[in-house]
Amino acid sequence: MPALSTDAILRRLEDDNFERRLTISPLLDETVQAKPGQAAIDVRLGFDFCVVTASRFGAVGDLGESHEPSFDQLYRRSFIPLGSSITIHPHQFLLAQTLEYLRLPPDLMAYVVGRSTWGRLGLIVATAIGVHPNFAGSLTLELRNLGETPLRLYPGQTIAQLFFHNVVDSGGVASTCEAERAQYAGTIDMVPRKLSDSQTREKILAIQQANAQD
Amino acid sequence: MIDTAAGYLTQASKPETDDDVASQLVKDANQLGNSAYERLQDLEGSGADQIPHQVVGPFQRWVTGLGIENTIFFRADHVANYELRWYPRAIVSNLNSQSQSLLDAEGAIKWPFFRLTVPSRAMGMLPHFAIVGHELGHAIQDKNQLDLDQFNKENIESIERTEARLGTKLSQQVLVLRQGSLRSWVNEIWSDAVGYYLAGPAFFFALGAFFELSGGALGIGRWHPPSELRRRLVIDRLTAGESSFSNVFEKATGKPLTEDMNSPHLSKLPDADTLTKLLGTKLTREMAAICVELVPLIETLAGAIYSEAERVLTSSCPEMVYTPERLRADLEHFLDPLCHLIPPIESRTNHVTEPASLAGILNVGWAALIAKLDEIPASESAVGEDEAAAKMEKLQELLLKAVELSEAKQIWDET
Repeated sequence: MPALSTDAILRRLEDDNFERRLTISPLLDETVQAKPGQAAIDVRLGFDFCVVTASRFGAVGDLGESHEPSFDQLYRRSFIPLGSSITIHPHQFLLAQTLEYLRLPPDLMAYVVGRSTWGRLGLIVATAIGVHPNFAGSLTLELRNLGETPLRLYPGQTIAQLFFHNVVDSGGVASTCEAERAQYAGTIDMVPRKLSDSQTREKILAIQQANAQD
Repeated sequence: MIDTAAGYLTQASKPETDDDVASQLVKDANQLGNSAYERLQDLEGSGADQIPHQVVGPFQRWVTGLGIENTIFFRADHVANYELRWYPRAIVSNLNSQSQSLLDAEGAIKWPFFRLTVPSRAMGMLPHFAIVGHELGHAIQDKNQLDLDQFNKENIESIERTEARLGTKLSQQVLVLRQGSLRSWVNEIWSDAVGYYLAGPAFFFALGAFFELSGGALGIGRWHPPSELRRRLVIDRLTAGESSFSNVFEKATGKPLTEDMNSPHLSKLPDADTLTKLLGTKLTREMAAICVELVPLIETLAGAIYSEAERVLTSSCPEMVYTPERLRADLEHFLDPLCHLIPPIESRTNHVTEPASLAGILNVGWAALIAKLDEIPASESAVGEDEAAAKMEKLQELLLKAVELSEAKQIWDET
């Protein structure tokens, strides 16, 4: 599965065909974020953060256990404008977003990879790193400071890289994935809504009930 | 203010303070505490969780661009109307023995400071915010140098028609009241004109939607000209000439701009006699007749008021005047991409990017809302009425993202 060069990525940004157009917007400084000769685009840290705070809740799940909190209760939201910063302390976890809005056409997927300079300081940027075709939204980043030093993060700093790959169908040609009817899935909110799809949830609950009757 | 009140109490507690003086100081401290609490109530609705923080920066850009230097803040509240409230310096400068913290706060504010209230229901859809252009028009109405004396003949004729309708001469006292109403009506038309020049069709759509959401009533009263007239004055300008906003809009969306677009239920103004009777149920007989006869007068003045607003804006901030040419470019760059979930953040040609303006985003948003909502993809699980709601929710999400990120792009480029 070939990766797109930086030049190829930039060309896809200006594709006249909206179905094929790749959107990474805004690119605040293209020369910094898209270096010739490479095969990635740097993305920046956005303005919205969800900080996980200490709570009285014992455990989190979404299978209807009593006293389980809603996911929203686990986070404190912060908006940090350009020029201000947020500090991530050692071993702290927080959610962030890319500043850029991303929309992938049906024939492209991407991987999010943390920049090595941050990695050397102990900052893990993303754990769910695959971005599927037809994604539309800002990427949620799961930041964790594995180092021993607090790190000051400024919205607008380059934080990760996106590598793009072509997606082909079973015949080996660029996927169109019924582009006209494609359901673009995007990140509406950083806070997860559910952990399990309804089928999985019902199945596990049924097994749980059966176990309880035994 | 609380620090100042605390200072009063400290002074009152000193042994050398006379009992009468101490008693008055305690009363003053109590009153000041209440005033401080009222100011806190005035701030209600301005928190980041109550107003979409993304819109504040772009609106501040409008404020700055119009040359409004006063300190201003935005808030949302469960009220019917948009409102611009002025807080004079006297609310703090008239206080005795101000604390240092109050002096610092007073010095940090550019007086009078403004509070712009947006009805909470408008929060649900960003394009409605175009109406803020009208409120900012009020903030610069002192720049209106239109000399009403040049319309002396028309004004006298209006007074004569009013007197004929009443069958009696207007007293000096009533004439003063009439003059106040005329000035207020002029200010409303002036503010509509500022909104029109800032946002073009987006202002027209937002104005119509606002009238409709307000119950579609006539809108005419002592301080406001009729809604139907205000709407007509805007649409007349949108449709004037060959390269009009209307032509550009129709070419991009297939829909011509019509007077009742987005406000089909707005009540039409009845004939003058019926209107006099209607207004007589809530106004004095004289004021009802005055309002009825102000309608043709304000219609005569409207052209000059709009021209004056155009003169002020083109001389002080020409880059803020929204034109049919800008609408053409915005719809061309952003409308179809928006239907493919690409927000109007920036236009991109040959590696050169240009951030979208707030006016552009509002206009593209309205065009999508009015003519392209069916094309916005929504979740497969949303059907029927849910589908329309899901599409509107998705559109709102995209427009908020566009406002936030185009502003970030502008800040980045300017620094």
